[in-house]
Amino acid sequence: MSKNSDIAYLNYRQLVWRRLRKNRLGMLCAAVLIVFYIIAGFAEFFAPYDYAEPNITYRYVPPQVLRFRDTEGFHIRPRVAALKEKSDPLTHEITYTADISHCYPVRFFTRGYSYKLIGIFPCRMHLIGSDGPMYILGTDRMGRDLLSRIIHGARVSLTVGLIGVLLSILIGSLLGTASGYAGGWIDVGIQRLIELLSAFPSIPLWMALAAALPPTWSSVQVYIGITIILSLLGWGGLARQVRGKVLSLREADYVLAARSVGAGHFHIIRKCLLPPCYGHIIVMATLAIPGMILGETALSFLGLGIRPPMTSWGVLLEEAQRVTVVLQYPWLLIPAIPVVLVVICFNFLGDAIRDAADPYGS
Amino acid sequence: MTNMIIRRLLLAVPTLIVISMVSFFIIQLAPGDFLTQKIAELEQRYGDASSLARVQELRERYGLDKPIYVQYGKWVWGALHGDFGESFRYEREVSELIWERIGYTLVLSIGALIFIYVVSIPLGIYSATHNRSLPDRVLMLLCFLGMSMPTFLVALTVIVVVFNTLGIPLFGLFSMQYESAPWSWAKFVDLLKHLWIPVIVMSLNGVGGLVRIMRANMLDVLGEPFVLAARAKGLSERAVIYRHAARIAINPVISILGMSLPSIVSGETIIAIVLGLPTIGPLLFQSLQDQDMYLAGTLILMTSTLLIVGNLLADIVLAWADPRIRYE
Amino acid sequence: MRFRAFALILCTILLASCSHQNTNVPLQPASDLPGGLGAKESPMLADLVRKGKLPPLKDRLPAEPLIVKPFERPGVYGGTLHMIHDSPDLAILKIAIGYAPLLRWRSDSNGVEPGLAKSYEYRDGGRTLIIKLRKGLRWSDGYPYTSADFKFYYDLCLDSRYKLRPPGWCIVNGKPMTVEAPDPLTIVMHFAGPNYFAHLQLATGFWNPEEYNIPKHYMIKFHPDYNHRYKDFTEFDKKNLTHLNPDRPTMCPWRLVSIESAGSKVVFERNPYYYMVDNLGRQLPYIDRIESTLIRDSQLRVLRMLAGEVDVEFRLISLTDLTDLGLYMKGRNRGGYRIKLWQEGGGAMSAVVPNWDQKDPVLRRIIRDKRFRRALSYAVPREKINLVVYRGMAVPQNSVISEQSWHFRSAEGRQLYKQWRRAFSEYDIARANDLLDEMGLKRGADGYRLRPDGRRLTLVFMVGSASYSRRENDEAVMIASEWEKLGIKVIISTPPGPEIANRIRQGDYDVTMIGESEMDLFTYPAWVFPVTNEYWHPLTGKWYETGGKQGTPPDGAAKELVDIFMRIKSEPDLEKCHKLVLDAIRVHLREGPFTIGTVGGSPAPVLVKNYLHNVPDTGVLGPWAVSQPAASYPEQFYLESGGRRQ
Repeated sequence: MSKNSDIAYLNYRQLVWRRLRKNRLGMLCAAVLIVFYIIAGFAEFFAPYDYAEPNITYRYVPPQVLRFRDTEGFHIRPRVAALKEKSDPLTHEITYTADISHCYPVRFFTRGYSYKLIGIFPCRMHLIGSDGPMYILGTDRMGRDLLSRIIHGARVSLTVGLIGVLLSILIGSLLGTASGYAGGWIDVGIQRLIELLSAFPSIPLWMALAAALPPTWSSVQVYIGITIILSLLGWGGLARQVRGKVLSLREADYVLAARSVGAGHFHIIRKCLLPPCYGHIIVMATLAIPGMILGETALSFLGLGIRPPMTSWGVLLEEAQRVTVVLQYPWLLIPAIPVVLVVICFNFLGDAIRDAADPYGS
Repeated sequence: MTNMIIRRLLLAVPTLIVISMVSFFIIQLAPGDFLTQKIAELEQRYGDASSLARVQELRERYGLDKPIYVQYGKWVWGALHGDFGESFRYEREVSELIWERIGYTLVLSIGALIFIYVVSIPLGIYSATHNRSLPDRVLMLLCFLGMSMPTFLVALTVIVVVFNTLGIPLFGLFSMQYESAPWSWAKFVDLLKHLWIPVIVMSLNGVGGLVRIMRANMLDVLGEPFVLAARAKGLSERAVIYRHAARIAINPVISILGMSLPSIVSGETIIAIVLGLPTIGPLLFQSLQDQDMYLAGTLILMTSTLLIVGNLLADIVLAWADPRIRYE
Repeated sequence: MRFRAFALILCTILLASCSHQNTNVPLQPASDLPGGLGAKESPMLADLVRKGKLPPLKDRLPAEPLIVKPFERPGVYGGTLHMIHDSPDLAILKIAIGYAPLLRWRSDSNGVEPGLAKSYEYRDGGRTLIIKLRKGLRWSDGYPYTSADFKFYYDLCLDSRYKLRPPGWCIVNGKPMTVEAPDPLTIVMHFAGPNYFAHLQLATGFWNPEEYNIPKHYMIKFHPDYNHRYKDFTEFDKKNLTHLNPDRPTMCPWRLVSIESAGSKVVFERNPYYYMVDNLGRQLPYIDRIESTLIRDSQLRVLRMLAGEVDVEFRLISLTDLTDLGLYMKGRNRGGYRIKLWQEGGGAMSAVVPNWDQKDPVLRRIIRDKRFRRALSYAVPREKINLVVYRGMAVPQNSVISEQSWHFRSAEGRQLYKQWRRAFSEYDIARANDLLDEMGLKRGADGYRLRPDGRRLTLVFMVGSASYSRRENDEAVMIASEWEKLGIKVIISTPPGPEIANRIRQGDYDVTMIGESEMDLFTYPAWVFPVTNEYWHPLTGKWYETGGKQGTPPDGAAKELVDIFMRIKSEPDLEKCHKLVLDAIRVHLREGPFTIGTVGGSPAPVLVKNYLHNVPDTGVLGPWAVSQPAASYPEQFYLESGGRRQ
């Protein structure tokens, strides 16, 4: 598996991986993130309800707690209490309370609303379901299940971060390498561009670009547009790092050796200059993802991000920004928790990778 | 070193020119212009269908029928004379509007900075000296929480909860009676009462980050040989920590202060919008939504200038503090 | 050490905030105050009269002041009213306290009554309108208000150097009116043809009266023809801005005194020469001062109102929807206010508006087919919308104008209105699908219907984004999912706010949503008659407005409606005019719906602090044209014991 010419390089990678594995916190966070992404990937399976379908019979239902003990005793299978309605004649509000005397069990791997697995295979299987209303995190003003909306929102929020960062990496390493390797005018030009971008206040740039997205675009196209916009602003730092590394390696012995043997420019870049940067790139990428996720949250919060019927965590949080919600329906603020959790996990993971990538540090 | 400064300053000029052009252009990117917006608003509110001639008149008055480079040129020419144009929405001079808000923006940002440093440094030192203990781990967790939380979410919840539980309305920077009253001791006290919520909310991210940095620095310094030597000499633990180690650990933190300079004026826009603070951030956001060209253009230019100046100052401070970092 | 210092500071701040006082002091009985029922004018003014700085009351009032009977009882003088506004142009304040027209809309919106003018009369078959002013009217600085002021205004309209142009309502057959002022108390307007709506326009909104009430004696100082220091009208224009120039005299009940910038606070004080009195002959208004603060963020407005810092609020509560109503009701005791349920007067909040003048010929033919619009209407989930947006407090119905409109006061009118309101408003997906099948729109392989030219039938639904207009956004989402069941592909598009209006005006949209709330079709015909450049008929309306020079000529049902409108304009008999409106409604029943309704008739909550009195319990708030709440005489609101103590 190890090529003779790459022995030194491979050992470094093995070294890093071993150190990373030892960092339990980092591994825990990585596991949590993998779980999030799996849930996001198979959102329809994990979500008990259709995230977009309004259900006016059950508006503003508070979270229905999973119970293991009810009037009939203790059960291993969790249950959900039925809902009792009460209408307020003054404010025309309907409030719901739990009726513990009527409980029904939560079923696993049950039939629910139909969807297409991976967009192709029609399917009706869901992880959880029940005979009656089962709103584990409550519902919103249109009677839509918050848990399902969070799960589907995860799909958008998490992938925007990932894809956006990938784009940033691509642009950043490309331009950084070009800048460092070619030098001269190209270098100066790219450096000025990076400075320009970093001097520009981000909010106006976001707003203007988001407002410039054609209004007739469907929500999917808007989502792609938002991703590209976010990534366009993030590549500067990475480019500068890569450039620095490339500059210092350009005159290294082994590069000179490769050149004297007659290796082409692209070969040198690919095999000699970029690989030592990978560590840096991965660390910066991992630490940049939370920024992207928060960026999408902020954009949707300002009303510039994802459009209906698509939903994201940012959209859910914007919907919760009402005094009425904070005081009367506070469960709608729950989407803040996965946002914070994911961001923390990425930060920890990034730190762990950075520590592991520097095997000669303290 | 002076070479570097001069070079950066010279480079800043074309950068600013490009930024001003780009910002002017970007504001135009969104379809429509201010006049259409104003007419649309009038119509939406009370169905007033202005006569076509009057529309044209207003368009001429604001120069919106001229090509964009003419508008840009007029603005730049005026700006060089200190006239940054007029805000269409407020119907007043741009410079006046900005001047009114700068004071509060500075107070909040500097207040937040002071808060961050005053809180983080002691906490960082404590955390480092009690490394791996329970309080340390808890603090680290809280720091991560603070760093990762999108604070604008917290903003509304905080004032609503404070209002609901304590019955104290603490919205914006002043109670309604002091809002435009002349300055007095009572008004100052009112300001202090309102200040602590925005300052704390704005500082959450910063505190989280800075505590970790301070802690890391202290740990580094505490591992240095001279600390061992000081202990061996018989100095009290207190003297070792505060008089020797902390002093050195603080240095890099001070240089980070330089890097925070740019954010002093741009401030935290989203939090300010949610809390209704009379600062620059919300003004910029509203002007972009209104497509209030001169106001938005001036604000973007101002923020960018300060960003560039701030970066330069930060680099200077860094270079001065650490002779190893010099530029060719 | 640093820790302790910091902790000390923190504690001080926390303690300081805890010592916040409750500002609601116990209220004194009214008889203790100097401004009680014995006083004929406010003590503030009586004081100035004593010092010789103000003429006595009988010299300040006109010979025949307007007498207003207070809603509950005659009030006491004094106090400061605290309000809020949402935009620096103060429009939302002006529609409450900045109304000083020649003729006023009645508070029940059933026509107009005398205001600054004593009487009005049409002659020459509607070609001449004669307005007689009250004797002794004065501007807020004491100078007499005469017909010369109106003539001065109209001369400015004719002056091409100044931005004012003759108002649309005075232009008949492309020619503007001429104005004469034969004596100080008479204004004579000559129109190029019969113009029986002119007197209504004089009363409409706050904007028309604001425009024609120009103080000649003051503004002449800045007019370039009279003061050669000024080369053009720039200074004149600045000085003429009523919401920015405190020195400009006004005829309104309160005059602007100061504007503060950072908080954007405005202060108004009573107009000492105001022409109204209560039924005991005491000069109005009762309230001395009004202070209003600019709050642009909607949630902060909610918080301030809950905290009891706003004395009265009319329009800003129901601006979006009724989500916050429960919160307001629950907070009444703590905030010290009560909630009065006025009427939104909404015909459709919001109406779904298909573009009759769609530029794509295939789509236009589809939209102009009434079966298509009926199918769209049968698929709208009105019950759902009612619950989600209005907690079930509104009425699912067709797209109509306000129930309280004076066109429907007759028995025939009421009957027709009921019919109109019910039309096309059932929820019936099967029937909708049948109609589309009947039209020959077959479904393709993917389930979506195809247009006659083979392309997929797609509608771009243009609404504001969720943060711009959450109500419309929610409604559009719900409606779109129903239309998908009909085999129509719907794309929800959310351009920035101003751009939406722009596109509507240019006719660049398929379907959009517009809040429909209109009381009077004579001044604002647009919902029923396609004669203006907006709503469902942008290009047809443009054709009418420009006299045929631009836009597209009306045809089919649109032409019928335009013809009826032309007949109304030249009809002197008011009852006949109302009957013609009913004929137009019958066209809507036969050929419509031209716009598709959702829900209407929702309540409009009004917040009134407990110490503020004489605020009517009901009224119609939605349409701005009939000048509510100004038409309900805010001059006779009064504060018990001066209201909130500072």
